[in-house]
Order: sequence, then C-alpha cells, then structure tokens
Amino acid sequence: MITQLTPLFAKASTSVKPQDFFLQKGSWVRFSKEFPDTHKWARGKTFVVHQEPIIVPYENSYILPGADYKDVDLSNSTAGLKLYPENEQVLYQIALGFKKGDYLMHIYIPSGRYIYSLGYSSMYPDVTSTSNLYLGAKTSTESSPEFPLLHIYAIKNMAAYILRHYVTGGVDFEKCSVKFYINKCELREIVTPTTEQEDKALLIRYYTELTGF
Amino acid sequence: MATARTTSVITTATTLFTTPEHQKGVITGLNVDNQSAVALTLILQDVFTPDASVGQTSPSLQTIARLQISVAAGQSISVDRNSLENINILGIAKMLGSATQATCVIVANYHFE
Repeated sequence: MITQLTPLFAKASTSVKPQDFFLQKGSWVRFSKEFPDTHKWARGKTFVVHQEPIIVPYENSYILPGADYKDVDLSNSTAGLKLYPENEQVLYQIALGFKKGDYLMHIYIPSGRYIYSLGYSSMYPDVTSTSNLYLGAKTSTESSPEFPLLHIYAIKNMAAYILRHYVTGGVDFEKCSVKFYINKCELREIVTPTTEQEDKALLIRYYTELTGF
Repeated sequence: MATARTTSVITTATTLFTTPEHQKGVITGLNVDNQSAVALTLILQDVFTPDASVGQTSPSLQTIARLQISVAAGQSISVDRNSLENINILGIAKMLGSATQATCVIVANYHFE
C-alpha cells in the first residue's frame, strides 16, 4: 500500500497539517484479500487503531556521485533500514520527506518491481534512460520533510520497499537525505465490521495490486 | 548560525567546521584578512568519503574545491552571500593556503540545513 495524499483522519483542524494525514486512535483500516497466507492475520480483515499511535522520527542520508544511484531497503532484512514492525496486529504508517537536493527517488516493492509505471510496456522508471528517468520519480517538491505527503504502509514480514536514490548528472556529489516519520499503530480486529466501517476504512492494498494497469 | 575563525593559513588545510550527517553546511559569509607580507591563494575544500553506490562500490576520500580566492599581502576580502549561494558543504569544510602564514585571519559564517 502506498499513498501520496492519504485520506484525512483528523476532524479538528481548520487548516491541513501533515499530522492530519496520520492514522489516529479510532481510525479504521482494512487489508485487501490479495494479501497471501503469510499475512493471514490481516488478509481481508478490518481493524481499528485502538491505542494512540506513537510517531517515531528517523533520518537517513547518503553522499553519492552524480549520475549514479544506490538502492535502500526499508525492511528488516539484514541489509535493510529495519523500519518494519516485528509483531502481528501492528501497522507502521511511514511518511517520507525528501530534503532538497539534486537527486530523485524511484520506489520499488519488492526489488525490481516499480510502482510508478504507466500501462505502455516501455513506460517504467529507469535511471539509465533519459526519457524515463523522471517517470514516477519523487523529489522534495512532492514530499518534503516539513510536509511529508508520501506514505507507505508496512506490516511484519511484508515485502521490502526499495528506495532508489539517484543523483542527477552534472553535479559532482550530492547528499540524499530522507526523513521518515513512522506512525506506529496497534490494531484490534473488528470481527463483524459494519458496511460503514468497511467503506470508510483505509484500504491497505497488497503490492501486486499497485501495478499492472 | 555559527562562526568559524582561524588565525593561520596552512598548506595542509585547516578545518573550519564539520557538517552533521543528515545536513548540509551553508556558508553565508567569508572574510579573509591577510595580514601577512605575502599574497595568498586560498581554497575552500569539502572533504568527505561518499557512500557505496552502484558505480562506486568502494568509494575513496574526496577533496572537492568549492571556492578559490587570492588575497594580496596586507589586504582584506569579504566574499558576499550571493557568491556563496550555491556552495554546499557535504562533509568537512577546510581552508587550504598556498603558503603557511600565521597572520591570515579567516572568519566563516555558516549554518546547517
């Protein structure tokens, strides 16, 4: 599941603030039926965030040469940043804010499977292609640390999100800095959800549903 | 906002400041008062070791010249904000002199962002 402008959950704000996009106590979430057996605690079920979530900020930076890139795994794998939950019944809503700089991001889940592609077969993000370099690329313009609008959702043992940090050509080196806000949500299943709860719950789609159309 | 001051220029480079890991150093003002009897050429260096990337799996220490100025003997120079606008320091900011002189005062104003 990935969203750039998530549904608004807070009802008290008179102007929209970044924290209004975070799940709160009482928010409803529903997991797609496409989740496999390895996530059967979540597959097709509806949950309520039953405690006040805790937001954990985190930063990560790399200095990379121009026209070069590095893939960064967000999961709990050995080489990953380990930003995923370790328990079932827990959802991490992770907001990403990119600091300004001469770099862009391509997002994959899992490695090699790009999210921001188009229907035509050659229209996928590609750092080796001058025409497709900016296709689906995310920058600080779209999601900054001050106003992070790009959210990803992670549960235990889920496939790894990969951020491909690409420094644009023409610069010697650039520091690519990403600020994460990890909204840790404890979930409680709603065994028999009402139609309203199912309709209004944030649908967490499995990654296979994010592409192919 | 911070200020780094050094009262000597050396040919092995003097550290002005070290940039925190997740920020960039932005120099907003640079004043050089060359009180020595010789003309000096100064190079503002950015020193860091990049992270491994697809193209550079074993990166080495980099020393990038971000600014070079020459100051005549007994002269002072102020580099204004416009001239420094696009200079970002990714690692350690150092000042390298063309000669070692104990009477050249350098003041750098900077912040991190």
